[in-house]
Amino acid sequence: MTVTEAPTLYDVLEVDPASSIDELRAAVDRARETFGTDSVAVYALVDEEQLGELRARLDEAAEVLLDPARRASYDRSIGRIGPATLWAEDDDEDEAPLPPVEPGPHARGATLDAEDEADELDDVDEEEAPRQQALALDVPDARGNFGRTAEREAVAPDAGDEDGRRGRSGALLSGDWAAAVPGELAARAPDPAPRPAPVERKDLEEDKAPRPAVAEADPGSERTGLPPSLGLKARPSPPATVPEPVAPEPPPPARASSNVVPERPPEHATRPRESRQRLDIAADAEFNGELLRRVRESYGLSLQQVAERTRITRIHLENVEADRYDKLPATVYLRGILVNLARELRLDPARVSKTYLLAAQRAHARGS
Amino acid sequence: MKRYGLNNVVELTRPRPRPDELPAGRRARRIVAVGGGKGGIGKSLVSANLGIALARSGYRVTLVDVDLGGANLHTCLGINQPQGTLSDVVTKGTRIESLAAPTGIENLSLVSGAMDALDAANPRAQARSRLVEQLQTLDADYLVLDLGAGTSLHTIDFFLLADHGVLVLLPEPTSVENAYRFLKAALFRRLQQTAQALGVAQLAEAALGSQGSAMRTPGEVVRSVAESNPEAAAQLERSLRDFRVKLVVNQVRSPADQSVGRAVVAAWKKFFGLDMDYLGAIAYDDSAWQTVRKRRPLLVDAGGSAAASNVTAVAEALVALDRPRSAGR
Repeated sequence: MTVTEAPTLYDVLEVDPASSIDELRAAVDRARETFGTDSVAVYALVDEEQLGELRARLDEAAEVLLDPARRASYDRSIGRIGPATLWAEDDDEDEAPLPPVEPGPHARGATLDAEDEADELDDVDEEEAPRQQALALDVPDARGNFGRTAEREAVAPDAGDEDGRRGRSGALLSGDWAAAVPGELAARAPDPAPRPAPVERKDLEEDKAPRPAVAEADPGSERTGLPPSLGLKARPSPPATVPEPVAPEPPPPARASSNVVPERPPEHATRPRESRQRLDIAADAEFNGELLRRVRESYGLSLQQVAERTRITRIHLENVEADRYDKLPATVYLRGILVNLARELRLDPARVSKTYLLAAQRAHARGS
Repeated sequence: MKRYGLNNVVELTRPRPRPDELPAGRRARRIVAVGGGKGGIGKSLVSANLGIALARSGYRVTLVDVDLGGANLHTCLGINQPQGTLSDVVTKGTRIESLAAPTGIENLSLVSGAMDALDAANPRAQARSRLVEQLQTLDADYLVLDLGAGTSLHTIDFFLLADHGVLVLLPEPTSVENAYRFLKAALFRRLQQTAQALGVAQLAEAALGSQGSAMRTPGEVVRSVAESNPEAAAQLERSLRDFRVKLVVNQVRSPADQSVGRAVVAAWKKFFGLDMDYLGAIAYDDSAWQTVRKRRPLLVDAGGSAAASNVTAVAEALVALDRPRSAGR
């Protein structure tokens, strides 16, 4: 289990989901101070990859939670009705499960969020899940890598009230012991943010039933977290209110993908996992963006869904798939991204990161 | 890493009486081990002055210099090396309590660890276990063990043996690096020992080994053990949770240094899922090195200095941990 599997962005910052914006800001400052590149406290503690993953998630937490509009839609996406949320009443309606793929009629998103005007610019694939688009968070931009941000910004000397830091430490990250032992977990008081089940199992559960588009959580429950059976990754998928322009030119052909099914499956946002097209990948395949895209599409996953599931910002994913090496973050972060992505796609993380980074290196050497 | 005999495991995991189980009157005995991996970071200075601060608060304190190869706690206290040392326990079978020498400070005695025999600084397992056993019989409210540098087995075992493992570090990369190495080694050993005592050594081994050389988080190991043996996993979890290090940041010079302690606590929790108690920071203070050169304890010779009051605060924070605990443990 890695840092990236913290249940929610609030857990990443170790704050209560009901925190005020000031509390969140203080938590972000604290986290920057603790985990930024200047912090001696993380020196030689874990490998760069783990740190890179954590920093990427902290960046995301800062981006999303410090923006009231995005925070509100994020809260909805995790089934939480925050104090400042306007749409509490809409929620019951959301309970009705939607068939996996159902465009059109349920698209009430545009009324929820001004940003959704941009929906019209979405490509067709994105339209497949319009209702979801309205609700989940968008990830428009990868600005401000955490480490670098912390480097640039003068760190505020008083990072806020230290006592607040423990927050919801009961639902912590990688090493959370409550989460570690199921029996113990069950014996505890209800945890607001249950641990996401291991990926494989969760995916199966998730796939068994048609996925409700929005609120998987029990309507009557306190709604501070997700039901354990679904966990993080069962969240409604993506909005992409401001879709990044996808490069129109097709990515370069995969080097070792001659045995890959050529046709591109439709990118229905909520297509169940079972529908994976058979995709034979040679044991010695070299993974480039094209191949990764094919694998993703064979699962019927949209970019935005993968972004949601892996917590990798969407623009990074797009750049990975388009082999835009010069736009990708430094190797240590890129490796974290690739490992995460590979896990999500059930590929061998070591193989994916190794071959992709090698290709990136070669491209760099060629000066492209 | 070398294996340890089962006897030692039992030794180290044997529960000691909790304070409320001991006769009323004096506080229960507590073992405090001061370590930190790196040399020259002030472990001995912290140990000696922590001992003095505790003694001044009325506790009966015995300082034990278990830096077997480089014992100089007596120098920090400004006294001559006591006649008998821990090496007599190993070589002559001397009882440890007869070694405690007065320090000139009320309530505070010292057991020197100086070992001059060639291989005495790295005692064999049998000698180690005799030391460990006898240490626990010493009659004092607080036993303060000054550990040596490095991650040798006996250093780690003393650290694990203690009720309070105090980690000293300086706010600089070299020290932090060694401190984490020390912590990880100690945690790993605790895990191994407990797993062995529970009869799930192979399970734990498999869990540790399945991810290459990277240290997996304790949570991962516990979870993995839980798949085949939930009861053992629960005990393993408890044992590892007890690995609750007390942190002291020494030689703090700037406001940024001041925040390092909290940051280390947060980072350790984030990546290893374990709590750490922050006892406080000790200011970088000229009087600290000056008193060392004079061979006078900081608290005695420069009691009014910032560093001295910081050490006193650290001692108070430590004592506070032993006050009646909140429910749960």
